[in-house]
Amino acid sequence: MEIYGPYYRFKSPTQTEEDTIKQLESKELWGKPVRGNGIIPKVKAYTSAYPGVAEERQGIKFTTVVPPDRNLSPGQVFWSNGREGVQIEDGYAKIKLLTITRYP
Amino acid sequence: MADNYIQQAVQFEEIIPENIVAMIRQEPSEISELSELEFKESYDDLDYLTFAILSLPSNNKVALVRHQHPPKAGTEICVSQNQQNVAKVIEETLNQINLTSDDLTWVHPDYEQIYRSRKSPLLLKAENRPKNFSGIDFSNCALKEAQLKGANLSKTIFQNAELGKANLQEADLQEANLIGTSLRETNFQGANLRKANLQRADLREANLQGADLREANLEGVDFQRANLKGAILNESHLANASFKDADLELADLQNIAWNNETMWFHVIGLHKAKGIPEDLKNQSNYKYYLKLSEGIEKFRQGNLAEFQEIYKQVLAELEDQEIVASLWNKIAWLSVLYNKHSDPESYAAAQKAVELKPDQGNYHDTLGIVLALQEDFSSAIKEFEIALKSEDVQKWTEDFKHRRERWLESLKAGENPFTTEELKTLLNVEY
Repeated sequence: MEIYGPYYRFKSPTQTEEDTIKQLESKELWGKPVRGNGIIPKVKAYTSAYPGVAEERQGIKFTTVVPPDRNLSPGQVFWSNGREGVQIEDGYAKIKLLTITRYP
Repeated sequence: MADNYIQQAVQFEEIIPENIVAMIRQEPSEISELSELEFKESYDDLDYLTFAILSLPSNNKVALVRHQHPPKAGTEICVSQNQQNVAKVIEETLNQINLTSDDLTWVHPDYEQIYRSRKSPLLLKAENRPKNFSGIDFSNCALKEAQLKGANLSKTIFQNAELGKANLQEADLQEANLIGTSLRETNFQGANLRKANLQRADLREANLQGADLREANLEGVDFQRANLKGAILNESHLANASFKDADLELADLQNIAWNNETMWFHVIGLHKAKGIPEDLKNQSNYKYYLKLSEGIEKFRQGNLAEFQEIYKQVLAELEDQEIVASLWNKIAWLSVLYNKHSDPESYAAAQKAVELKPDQGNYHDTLGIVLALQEDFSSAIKEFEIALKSEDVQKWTEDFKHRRERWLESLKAGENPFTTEELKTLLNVEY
């Protein structure tokens, strides 16, 4: 079993404290299209920790066995429909996480 | 962030194309200075972002996007889902903001042609024909990552050129001039380098598996961590060359010319190399080279105790403090990677290496890992800071350095970056 990660998401309007609690409880990560005009739902994260001050980078750190999409820009990682382990539900892409913790 | 900011930002989010097709090194503030383009704040499903919409002469629209928390600097060029002629759109975008293709740090592989063309237009033009550059002078040229698989490069001149990470697999480089050329991580698998001149070339981490280096001039070449499995080195000139951590398993060494400055310590697979000349076998340190090579094989077979035992036997007999320090460091480094935890023996070995050669940043690096695994974060931070300020940094790859900076950042945040996965990765990429 290959493990992918750790990956990171940081506090934002789409990574709220409420989202974090849900993710920690469900060990799932959900994603809409990247932006409002997009059509393909994707789970999204950063590939490494942001080298900033601790207050600016509160979020989650996770690993998964679901392989991410290929040919992505440096620093970002997506999981789109069609990849093994990516489920689509109500317009959201979702993946199961192997581990998830608060970060930092 | 305030709610009214989020509501306003939603409006912007709707108009920002989402497909990332390229990255440029400049930050939004620099782009604004160059082009007077105004960036606005918004967010998307990943993070907060700043963006600017650019209308191009072709009537296409692109977005320049900078997310708030990416691990690397730079700005994304984004296009809409159904954008045609993406390579042309990237070019237009760069023109509009007064940048050039030299400012691109990444291009989506589907549109990579433009990226490759900026690096070596000559090589791109030749893409659909046989790549025949025999005898051409590429001295001092920037040819990093050039795709020259199977090319005819006989007698070609690459003196002092940058060919790092290039693909020269099965290329014909017979009698080529590669003096002082940067060839780090370059792929020469199965290449013909007969009678080539590689004096003082940088071949660290290069893949020379099965390459033909007969009669090549390899004086002063740095082969550190290079893969020379099955390479033919017959009658090559190896004075002052370094094979530290290089793999010579099944390499053919018949009639090589070497001198006392040729570095054979820490060679991997030497005990399985062929045609080792008698004068090398008679050298006083040869028995140690062989033992250490066998020790590494024990490690690869998963027998840590035998590896440590062999190394300690050699340590008991050696006096050269530089070599002794490097052996202690190797014991500490491989032991922690293997055990995935620190123990008194690893700590003592790492300490000895640092005590003997305190100027070696790599030894402080090893001690840093050992200390971090003992949960002594403050001492580990000090060791990594010494390592990152040492002269050894100049020899590190970007990835190697970035990894250390990330560790330091994590340790300062009170988090141990040396997870089992991280140590497993280290074992794969840095051993």
